[in-house]
Amino acid sequence: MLIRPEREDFRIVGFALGRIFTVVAAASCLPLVWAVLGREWHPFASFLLMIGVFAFLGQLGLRYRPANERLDWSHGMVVVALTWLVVPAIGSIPFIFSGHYGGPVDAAFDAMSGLSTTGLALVQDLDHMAPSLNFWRHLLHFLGGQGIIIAALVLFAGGGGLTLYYGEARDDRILPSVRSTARFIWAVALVHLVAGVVVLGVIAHQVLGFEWKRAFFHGLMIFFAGFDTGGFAPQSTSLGYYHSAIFEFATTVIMVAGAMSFGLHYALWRGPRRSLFKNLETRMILATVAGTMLLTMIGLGVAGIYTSVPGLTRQGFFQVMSAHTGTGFATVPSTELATWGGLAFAGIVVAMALGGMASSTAGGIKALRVGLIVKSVVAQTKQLLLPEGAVVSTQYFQSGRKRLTPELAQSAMTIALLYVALFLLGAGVALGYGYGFQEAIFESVSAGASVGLSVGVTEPAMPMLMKLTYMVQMWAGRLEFVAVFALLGFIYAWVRGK
Amino acid sequence: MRSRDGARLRRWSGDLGGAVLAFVLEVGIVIGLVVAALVVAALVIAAT
Amino acid sequence: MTRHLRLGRRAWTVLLPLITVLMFLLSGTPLASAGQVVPVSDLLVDGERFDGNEITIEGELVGDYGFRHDGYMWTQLNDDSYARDALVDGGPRAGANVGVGIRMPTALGEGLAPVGGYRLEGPLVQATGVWRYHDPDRGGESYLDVSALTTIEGGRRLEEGPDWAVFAAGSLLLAVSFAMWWRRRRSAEAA
Repeated sequence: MLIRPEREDFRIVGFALGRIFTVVAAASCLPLVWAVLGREWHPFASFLLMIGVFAFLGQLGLRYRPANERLDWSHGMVVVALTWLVVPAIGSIPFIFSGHYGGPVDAAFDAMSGLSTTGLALVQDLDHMAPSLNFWRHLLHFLGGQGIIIAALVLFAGGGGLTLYYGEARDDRILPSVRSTARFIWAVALVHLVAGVVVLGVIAHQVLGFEWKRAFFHGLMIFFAGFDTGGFAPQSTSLGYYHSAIFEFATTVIMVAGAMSFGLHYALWRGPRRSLFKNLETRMILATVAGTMLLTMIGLGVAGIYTSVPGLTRQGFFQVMSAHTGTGFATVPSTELATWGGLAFAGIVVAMALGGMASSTAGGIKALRVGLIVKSVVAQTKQLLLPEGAVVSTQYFQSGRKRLTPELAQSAMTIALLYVALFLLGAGVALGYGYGFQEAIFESVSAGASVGLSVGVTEPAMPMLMKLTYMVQMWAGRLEFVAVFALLGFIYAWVRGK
Repeated sequence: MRSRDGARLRRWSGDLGGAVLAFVLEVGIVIGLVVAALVVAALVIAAT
Repeated sequence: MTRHLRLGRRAWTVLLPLITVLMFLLSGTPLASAGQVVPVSDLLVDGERFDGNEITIEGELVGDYGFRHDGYMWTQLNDDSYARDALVDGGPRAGANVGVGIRMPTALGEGLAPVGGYRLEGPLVQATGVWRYHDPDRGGESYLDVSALTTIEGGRRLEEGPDWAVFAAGSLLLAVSFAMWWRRRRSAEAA
């Protein structure tokens, strides 16, 4: 029997949302300041409106304080799901008024794409966009990748942090408290931010010959999009704009850092370091990167798309890394990517679908789940081959020796299947509109796995239903379904419960 | 107080060392993958 | 006795161009020639067709001028509608930008009008050079290796003023939010 949510449940959810919107309002002051410094008064006004809406919603939520602020599991999941719907909606206000979008849905699409660190874009005339707006696009990646909720956890005390943390699809509780874990995640991000921006900025100035201000502008934007494996770029030709192997190399290092789990970062910073290459997740991702790279490069070579060793190495390697880390930077135009058929297509799509490490900024099924599924399948096969009554106990190493329980294996397989279903849903909608199978699958996997590589399907003229479908895929894929189902269940109980 | 400051300083310097190690590892992973990609590319071009 | 075929001047006036065209066709050279402007979209869709050929593209220079240490300068040339019909000027939305990277000797790049960006239309130019598709000397990059550059129109600054209605709405909401916060704080202090 479904129990209808009561007024107190709405107060609890509203109060938590109020805190989160207040944090987002504060973060939104950054592009506002940028607009002031650049005297960009048109974007300035729209940032002011956005901050006003977040601040108002924040105060509205905080006004009705619940008797008990503690979030239980269902409250936490609903808060997470709603945050990831409302923040892109309000966050699209500057885009709506910029003139660079075909309508509110296009603007909300890019905001959702930014926050979910996907990187698919419907923006028009990006090359003439105001720098403060471009900064906001990339800052959305940073907020989404680091987790707005993580930020709220750092700043606000109060119960329910754990459910919010897990609701944002994070599995590692690295430190004893969720708050200290959240602080550590932000520390790692900020240290990488300083180092990454300096390195990219210096390369852009010294090697690419940009002037200093522009060099660091590009460095900052590419860092946000690379470390948070988002994929937006400040210019329309993505990473291909820079025409530089050194810049691509530095960007790849940042993408790898972003696709590493924060648990791995913790092990590097504070030990034990032996877990680095012993972890199932690390071994799995190295194997899948190698495998998809092999597939892709054989495919490109056989098709004669690249006929030189430097060309095949550089372009094949970068695209696979961009796909597997879930970043979505492209060094080739989408029209060219669309011609990568056969094994190259398979390599890139599989890389996108598998994704990065769990508890990182990357999307996809995630390396740990893939590893658990493989171990489970191997164990079940052994069980079949052994005499009846034999017991196969499976263990794995992930920051310590652990037992692969049937529940854990089932959970991994369920989420993997849900991702596959999500990919097929998006592909089905595209097929219904007459797109070819290859491009339908490619774009759908890119949206659902929060990657952002495109073969040209995603464009302003795309049918409305496809835009909405990809937005749902980006939302559900980023949150790994649980929070989404919790929200749907909450709404259903409210409507049909007793 | 001193022992707390000392512990904090030790943790920060440990973190700094860890951060440097992290960067070295990240660069090392990419270099390793680039080398592997070069080998694969050479074999593929030779075969095709 | 053999009879030699003797052709009059008139015949050669017709034959010579025909032979030239025939040689051209038989050489396998694509139809693009140095004087013909090729749309950038053609290069993006089928770049291989123009590989190694001297072509001309026309459009706006955008982004950055990257003067490198090897004697070359890099930038991007867009031939979409935004160069002539800027969004800020009320120009129509025409989808994403359509552009390619171009490389030219530093000397050609010096003295160019400021590159296009926010509130700035970059110079409209005609760039002639060899189209390099998946250049093995540059790790598989595709770009136009420019040897001649002509400025058709210099760039111009654009204006984009603030939207006062949006500004007013935002200010009002902030004021209301502040008032709500203040009231809540006062109630908490009183309680």
